[in-house]
Amino acid sequence: MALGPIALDGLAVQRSGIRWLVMDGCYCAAGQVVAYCNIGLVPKPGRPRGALPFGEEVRDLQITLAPSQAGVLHIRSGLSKGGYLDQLHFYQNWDAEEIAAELEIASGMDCGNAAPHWLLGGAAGRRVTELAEDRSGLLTGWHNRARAWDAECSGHLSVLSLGICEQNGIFRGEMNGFAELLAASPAPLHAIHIGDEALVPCSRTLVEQQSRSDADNDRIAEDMMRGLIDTGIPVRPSDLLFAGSAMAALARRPLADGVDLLTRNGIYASGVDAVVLSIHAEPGRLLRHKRLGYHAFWHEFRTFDAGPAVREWLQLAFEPVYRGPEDKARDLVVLREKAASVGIRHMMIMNAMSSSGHEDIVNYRPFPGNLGSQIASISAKETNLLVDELAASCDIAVLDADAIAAAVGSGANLPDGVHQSRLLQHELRKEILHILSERGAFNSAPGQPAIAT
Amino acid sequence: MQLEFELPAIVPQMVEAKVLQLLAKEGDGLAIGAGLVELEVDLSSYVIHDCPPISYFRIVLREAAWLRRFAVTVGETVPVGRIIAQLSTTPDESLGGDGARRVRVNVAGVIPNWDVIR
Repeated sequence: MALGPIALDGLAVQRSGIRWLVMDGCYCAAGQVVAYCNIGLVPKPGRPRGALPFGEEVRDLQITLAPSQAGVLHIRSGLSKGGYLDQLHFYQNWDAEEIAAELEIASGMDCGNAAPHWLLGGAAGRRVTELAEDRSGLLTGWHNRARAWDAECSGHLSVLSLGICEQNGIFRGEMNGFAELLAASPAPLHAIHIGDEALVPCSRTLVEQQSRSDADNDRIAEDMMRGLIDTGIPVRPSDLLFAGSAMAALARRPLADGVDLLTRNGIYASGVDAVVLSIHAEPGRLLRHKRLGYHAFWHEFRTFDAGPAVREWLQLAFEPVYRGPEDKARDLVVLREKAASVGIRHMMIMNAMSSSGHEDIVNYRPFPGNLGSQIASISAKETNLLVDELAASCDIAVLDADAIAAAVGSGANLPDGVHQSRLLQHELRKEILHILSERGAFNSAPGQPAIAT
Repeated sequence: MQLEFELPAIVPQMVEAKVLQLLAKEGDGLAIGAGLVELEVDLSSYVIHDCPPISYFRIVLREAAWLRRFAVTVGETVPVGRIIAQLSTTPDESLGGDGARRVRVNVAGVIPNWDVIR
């Protein structure tokens, strides 16, 4: 199987050595990602030098290889050079004729008319800082956005995951590279994950991020730096790392992030077609900046480790804002409208596990008044109910993690209510694709014009 | 009959909990369902642990009893197995000595009272 062409006008593709994820002689399934390499795009002679596609992702851009048919893989020697030669892209040119491996198909298996060939995938990570370099594997590194796509064609459905850590494994899978989600998709998929480390993506902060001007972001940044100094506490490296990543995250507009997709036939621009949110990202207590009025939420275990000046700044500069289920619902409705205004056609909310293996309450007498404001499991059920009502009233789909976890066994597969097993992640992944299919999302994925390269 | 409540391992990995609120007064006669104590379990307090490390629980009685003595104070962090409260089935029987049994309780996961936590 030769690598095959990547046809880009005005750009040449360079690559690193090929890193194999399977052993020579291993049986591989059709579509299984078995290898990857880092790539770089360089202007061909005569092309004007200027901004290249992929912007901030240009250093963590990769191509994955998967056989189009099942069989035993016989890896050609010499394609992996080891060391930095397998990590840095500028040592070899992409050669369409280069044979990377041979595929031995079991006798009696019908190959059809098509000879086995490589299915290419794309992967890109945007680093939190250029210092966060880690090219040790597939999409490794500290990225504030990671994504992967089918590079064989255009017309992708772009799905953005904006949840807390519970969505990380569903989208990125066991190998970190989105392979399971892409392989399970019934049509070309572009999967994007933005994590919650630097800022939890809750509805109110997402709406505000979308609405802020560059001048607003400058004011937030200036206030943050002044605020840290004004605490009078010596600023430590951990304070600055937290502040820098938070500042960058606050200034992003995840719903309207334009990205590039590299395929065999060119580079295409893409926006976001569908977004998957998590009700776990909607906290009962947000922080509101007293002077500038913006809202933010960071997981407490992250602010605890952030550094003393950040902790003091959070205490001094922010005030808590308490949100009940109705407040969360209102914020989600506003977010739905905001998302629609930037072309996002599908929104899905992952609901919450609403029972706990850690409680055995059978008597609600000690909880006079509104149970939902006192008991965590009741609150989760009420919130899930609100999500269902939202779904009925404003075109939001529900990813019913509560029901799916119960079906596969929440004790074994969701022991703390948030972190799932492989089985549960597989089931949730299937359900996301099923919901998108039911909504016709794959039928209406837009055609994407090629970027002039 | 002397009764006692000792901190159970509500979450399998926990080794300690912080007392957030005492929900009854010593000497009170408590009915079934009465609240006894509210606890914060922070799994990151003794081992590096990512989200969600903190959860909150209320202990309520599953049998009527007299609260005789709290052996903890608000804000104190206590290990699993430590006696938190002594109770009895009559209001004035003497405490001490052997023979106390565990009081029957239920555990409820609760939404924290942020004012108490701050």
